[in-house]
Amino acid sequence: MIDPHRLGKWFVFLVVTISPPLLSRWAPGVLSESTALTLGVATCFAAMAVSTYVVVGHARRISLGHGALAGLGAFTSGVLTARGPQVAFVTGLVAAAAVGAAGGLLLGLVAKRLRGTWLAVATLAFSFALDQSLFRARFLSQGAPGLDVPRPRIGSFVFSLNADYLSIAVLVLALLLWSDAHIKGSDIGRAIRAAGETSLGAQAVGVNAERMIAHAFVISGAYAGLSGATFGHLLGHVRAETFSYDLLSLPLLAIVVVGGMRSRFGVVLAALGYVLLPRALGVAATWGPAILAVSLILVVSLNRDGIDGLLMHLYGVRLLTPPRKFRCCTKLAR
Amino acid sequence: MIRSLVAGVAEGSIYGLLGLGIIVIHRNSRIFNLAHGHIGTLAVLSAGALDPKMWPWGAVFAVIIGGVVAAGFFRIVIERIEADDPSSMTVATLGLSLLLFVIMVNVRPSASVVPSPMASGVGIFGYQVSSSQLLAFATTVLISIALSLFFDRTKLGLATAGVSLDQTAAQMVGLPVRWISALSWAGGGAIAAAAVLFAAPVLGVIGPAFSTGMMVRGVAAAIVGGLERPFGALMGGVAVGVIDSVVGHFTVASSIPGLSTFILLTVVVTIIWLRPQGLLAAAPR
Repeated sequence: MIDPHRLGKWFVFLVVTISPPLLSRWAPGVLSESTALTLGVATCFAAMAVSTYVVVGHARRISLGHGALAGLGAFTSGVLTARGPQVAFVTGLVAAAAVGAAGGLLLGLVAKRLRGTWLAVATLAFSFALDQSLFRARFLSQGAPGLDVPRPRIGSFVFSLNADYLSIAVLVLALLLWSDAHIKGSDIGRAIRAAGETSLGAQAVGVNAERMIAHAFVISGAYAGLSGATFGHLLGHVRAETFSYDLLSLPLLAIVVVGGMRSRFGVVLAALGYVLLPRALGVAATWGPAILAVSLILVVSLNRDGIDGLLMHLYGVRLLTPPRKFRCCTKLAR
Repeated sequence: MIRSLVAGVAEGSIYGLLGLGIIVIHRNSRIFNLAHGHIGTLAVLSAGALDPKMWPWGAVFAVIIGGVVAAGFFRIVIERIEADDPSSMTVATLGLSLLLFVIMVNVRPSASVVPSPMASGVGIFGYQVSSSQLLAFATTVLISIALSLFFDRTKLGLATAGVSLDQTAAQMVGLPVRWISALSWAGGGAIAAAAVLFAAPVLGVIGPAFSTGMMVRGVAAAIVGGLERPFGALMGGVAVGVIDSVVGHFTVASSIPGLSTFILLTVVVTIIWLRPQGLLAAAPR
């Protein structure tokens, strides 16, 4: 028996995945190469934001290290596909996810013991240290200039058009959303959320709260590595600055908080808005993050639920998150 | 080697000054002000304080702007967040840092090169300590002394910590909690501006990207110094400066740049990890 609701989701997914290459060939006026690039950047930002959401939304821990985790993935995949063994694109992505998970484990071991402002400082240190030293190492990125990264190929077909690559980016985002939905409902996902909401309560029902927090960071690190690598191959050029604290780690946390920490689709919406809104409003790209910064300050001081809560307020229905039996707090762990 | 040690002490006193500002705010609100470097840099740049023609009024303006920005941010944003929610307060300071970063990137995009400190000065073990560095060292020591006296000997100073320890009790004994906290934030912002004012000529560069580095070193100095005593920040800053400079001395030819930052931050994270409640703090809650 086919569930019509799920059928609708599959339909949307197929249309969004297949349409960019077709549009760019048959109606280049609708989807130009530069528009496709912007959409690709927005999709990759959404994927990286979903990886941050695993830690901030489920485990309720601050992370300012996700830009660096994404950078680890991008450099791993970049080095493996461009230099040395020149492996296939998919192998590069898998390796990126593995390295990202290893980085996530490192952060998770720290996060087991820290919370709040202390965890913010520790993850910030991780991001800043990698950005300032490892990502600028000569063997990784020739110092400052960076590393040229190839687009994937299947046989003789190369995904050199941005519109073609956009399909891959959408595929990766869909994979992350699908996998997060399944992990969220699984035993481990519920244990992670329990540990995030109330560590004491989770321990009372036999959940090892500290270990669950570390698990969340490992899962999230794998997602970040994967999406960072996808981002790197989209840009075609991986530099330390792209994955720095100021330009990636900080905006990613801000996007998740603005999206509403408990809603996956609110986060995706916020990420798309972060990239697309300045362009739609005709604001210079360098002023774009100002919108995010102001909304972050507003969300933190006025309305904790972000975009998700705003829609709830406007329409009286929770459009993005299905209603819950248990209303839980939307605060980060103290 | 000894030369880089002296250089480390000289630079470290500036990091100590940055750490002092972090401590002043942490003592009051129990959070790290992650917009510290951005407030200082914005204040110095907007006051034009690095222009020799503006001396000394530019410096005064910068300090005032730093204090006003930080105190205003407290009264407008931080105050609306419940006092028992340090995570949200930290995220709010992140929002401020992003906002100030964007403003600086757009108004003054490139890092401007500050004239290197005056050649006149005293040589110590072959390291030319400039007069601005001596001034920075003296200022840090003076502010540390003044702050320890203020915190330990005056009622107002005790109150700045008291309002965070028990806000309700502080209100019941009639303390103006909001104004005392705003005062702490103003102090933190003013010290940030002063520190950036000293740091810019020594490092020879100032700009938006530079402010995150300032904040990181300030937080590092505060954490190494133990977050409680003003003199701890001075010691912590000197330790940070010495690590930075000595490791930099040995790894100058390494293929990985910024190793000193890497090692410094590893030390800091290890300290946080071993003592999550702070170096000199009492037992965890």
